[in-house]
Amino acid sequence: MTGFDTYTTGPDVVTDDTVGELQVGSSAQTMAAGNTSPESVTGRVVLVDVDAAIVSRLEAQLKGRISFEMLKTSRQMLAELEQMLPRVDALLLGVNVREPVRVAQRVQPLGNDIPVLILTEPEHHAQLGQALRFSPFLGSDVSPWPVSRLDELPLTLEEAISRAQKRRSYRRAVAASQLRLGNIYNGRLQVTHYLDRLLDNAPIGILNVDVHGIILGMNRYAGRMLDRTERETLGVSLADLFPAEEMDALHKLVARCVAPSKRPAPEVIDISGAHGSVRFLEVMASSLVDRSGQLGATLILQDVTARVCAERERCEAEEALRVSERRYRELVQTMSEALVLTDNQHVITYVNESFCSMFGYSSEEAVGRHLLEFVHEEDKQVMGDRMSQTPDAAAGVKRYETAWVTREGRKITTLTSPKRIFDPDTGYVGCLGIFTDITERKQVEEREKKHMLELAHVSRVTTMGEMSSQIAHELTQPLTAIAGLSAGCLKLFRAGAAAQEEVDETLSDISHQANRARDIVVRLRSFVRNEEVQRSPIEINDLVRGVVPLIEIEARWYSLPVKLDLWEPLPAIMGDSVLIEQVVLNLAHNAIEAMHGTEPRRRGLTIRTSMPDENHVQVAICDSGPGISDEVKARIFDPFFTTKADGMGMGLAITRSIIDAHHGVIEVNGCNEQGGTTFAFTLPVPES
Amino acid sequence: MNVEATDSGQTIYIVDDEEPVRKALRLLVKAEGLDSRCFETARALLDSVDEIGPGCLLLDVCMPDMTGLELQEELRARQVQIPVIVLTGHADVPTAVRAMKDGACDFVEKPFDTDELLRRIHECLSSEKKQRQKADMHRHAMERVARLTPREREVMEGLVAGKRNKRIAEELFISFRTVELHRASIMEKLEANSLSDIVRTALWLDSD
Repeated sequence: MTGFDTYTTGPDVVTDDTVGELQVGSSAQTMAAGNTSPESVTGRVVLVDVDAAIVSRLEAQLKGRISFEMLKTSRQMLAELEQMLPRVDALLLGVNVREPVRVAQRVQPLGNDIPVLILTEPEHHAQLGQALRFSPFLGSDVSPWPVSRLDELPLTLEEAISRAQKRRSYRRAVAASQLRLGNIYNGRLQVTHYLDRLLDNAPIGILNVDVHGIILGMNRYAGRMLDRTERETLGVSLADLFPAEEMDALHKLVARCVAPSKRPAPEVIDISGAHGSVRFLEVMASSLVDRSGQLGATLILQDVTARVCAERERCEAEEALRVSERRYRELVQTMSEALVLTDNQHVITYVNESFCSMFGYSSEEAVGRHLLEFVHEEDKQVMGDRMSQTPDAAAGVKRYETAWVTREGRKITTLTSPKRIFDPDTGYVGCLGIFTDITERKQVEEREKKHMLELAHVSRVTTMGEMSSQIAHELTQPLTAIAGLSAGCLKLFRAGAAAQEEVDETLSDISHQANRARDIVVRLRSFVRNEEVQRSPIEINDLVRGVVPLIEIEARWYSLPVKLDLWEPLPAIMGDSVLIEQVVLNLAHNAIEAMHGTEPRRRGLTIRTSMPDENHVQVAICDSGPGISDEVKARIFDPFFTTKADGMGMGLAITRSIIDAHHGVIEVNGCNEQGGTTFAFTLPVPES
Repeated sequence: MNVEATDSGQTIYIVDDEEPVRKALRLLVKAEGLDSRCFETARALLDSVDEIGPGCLLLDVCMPDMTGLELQEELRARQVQIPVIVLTGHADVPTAVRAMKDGACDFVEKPFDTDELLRRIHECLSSEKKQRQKADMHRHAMERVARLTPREREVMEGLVAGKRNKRIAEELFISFRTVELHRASIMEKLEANSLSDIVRTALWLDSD
């Protein structure tokens, strides 16, 4: 492997029979070795584009001792020089040869022992000398010669030839002695040569280093791996080829193999930094020994970039997965919502910390129990029904409000969004539930609802207060009738003037009037009662018909007709009937008041029920009053906003909160067909 | 039973929009032995205002169309002389005050005590009867006085003022004899038997 240089520069030269015996040395030596001609031939000079006059002058002076070969161009010279080289002792470039320095440089590798003389115009002599002095790759035997000193030229030429020949003979002597030594290894050299060629083409890099890490040689593949040519690397330290941070590992590797107590393990070296691209080499070291003892180490390099990258990607993916899993686990454990996993029988299989703190059970206590055991009594039925439904993969996640019981027996309310989990193979496998504790929110809601109900009650009582005159009048009529009828009847009876049928008719009138009074009282009492909200199905048309007698108390007073326009049949809605009655009565009360200033003939109140769409029921209360302006309309539902002289401004605010509590909508049209106002509220029909 | 206080010519006119109340009032009045006539609205009564005779009007103030007070006003405008008992639905002092100012002779709150109502009705009827008699006397006196000549009228005024014949003759610059002749004529025209009859007629004359 010590002969890479020679082989790579020119295999053709190696196979040349004339140099077949050589193992080391420069090309100059090779040539010298080939040239076995005796000293009697004094020299051969190649002239390139030299003026004919100069040539003849030289021939005249050196005739017989030196032969001349004349070539026209430097290109021709370069092409032929290689063949002629062993027999060339000097080179003379003519004045007109272009770029003489470059030509000299080109000649130099072919044979650096050939003296080169460059003819110049005298005025260019100094400039050329300067250029030659600072040009790289030029030996000291390249010199300019001014044409003004042609006289001395033959002598200088002779001296140069003689100098070159002496150098050659010295080298030859050295080569001959080495040749004697080299013969011993002749057979081995052949093997080494083939081995080297094999290794040159093998897809592994081989690098020989001495004990100090100085590179002795490398194969082509190693050069490709390190992005260097062998020329650049020979004699260079490993430290220049590998990143500093990896040097420690390399040195250890070399040191281990130098003391070969055990087989050194390969080392992966990252050389990415040195190349700008990701690159990993696996380096194995074995000791390089020759007979004289330890020489260094052979480093076997293998490009493992793809493997390392794949490995690294796998590690990164594994790490990412681990991080992601940990994150999810932390998320699930630390999330404020309780999380429950159940199997397809609703038996708990997992709960998180929030569940434990929310419910007061430890994870061990909760797992294995049926989810229904935690449900509050009031929701058990609903929950049970929901659980027994056939799971549908296509169904989206719904949100439910559910009441639960904690370990201490406290009732908590959560917003739950159960997600049914389906396995592609086994179908429904269980349920994932996330519970948000809304107990406090629920309590606030309930307080607000209670508050609203209290206000609504106050409002009802207030309405009754405002209607007290009308109500008194309403009750007065039957009482008056009863008093008069009974007294009259009694008098007739006592006077013996009572006819059978007259008494009969009178008593039935009395009874009729008593019932009428009682109806009013019952209705009023139910209207102002303050009970818990009772959600029940409401037939809106029945409710309207029921509330009309109350409306008529007032309507009669102001002598205006109440007209009903009811849509039949209407689906039932859910709600508290007293509250909805209140809304209708309140709106009717406002409508009647709005018509105080209206001409009696034009007064009229219409209550209309309808279905704007199949999911909603609408009740509209229309008056024929003056209507309302947009400014009033904008604020009409605001609390304490009133247009009445003695109004509190709470009626419509309460009306609205009642409708809101029923998930309905209330709207106002300030100018209906009669020029009056229409209040319309819409309530949702519950899903069947 | 205050039969002697009423006479057969009196009728109770009932105006109330509530049928049961009308029925009750009619029965009550009937049991009391009085005639009655019912009207559903004020307008209905006005339509037959010409048929209204002596008696009294039981008027509900609280009625659609035309209220009791409006009817009262209308009757006064048409110079229908009939005492009115206003029936109010509930104690409403301003309504009562207005009714009394407008000439109602009484007001009764519903629901009423039947005996009380009847007592008021009788009071009203008897006062109406008296009023009516008074009005008759006045009218009678006016008719008779209208027969007198202006001179006889002057003489009568002297007599009513308690002046003697001689004094009247001096003041009117007529003879004593002429005064005596006028006096006889006055007695005859006024269908008076004595001076006190003449004085009474003159008093009826002023009673309006």
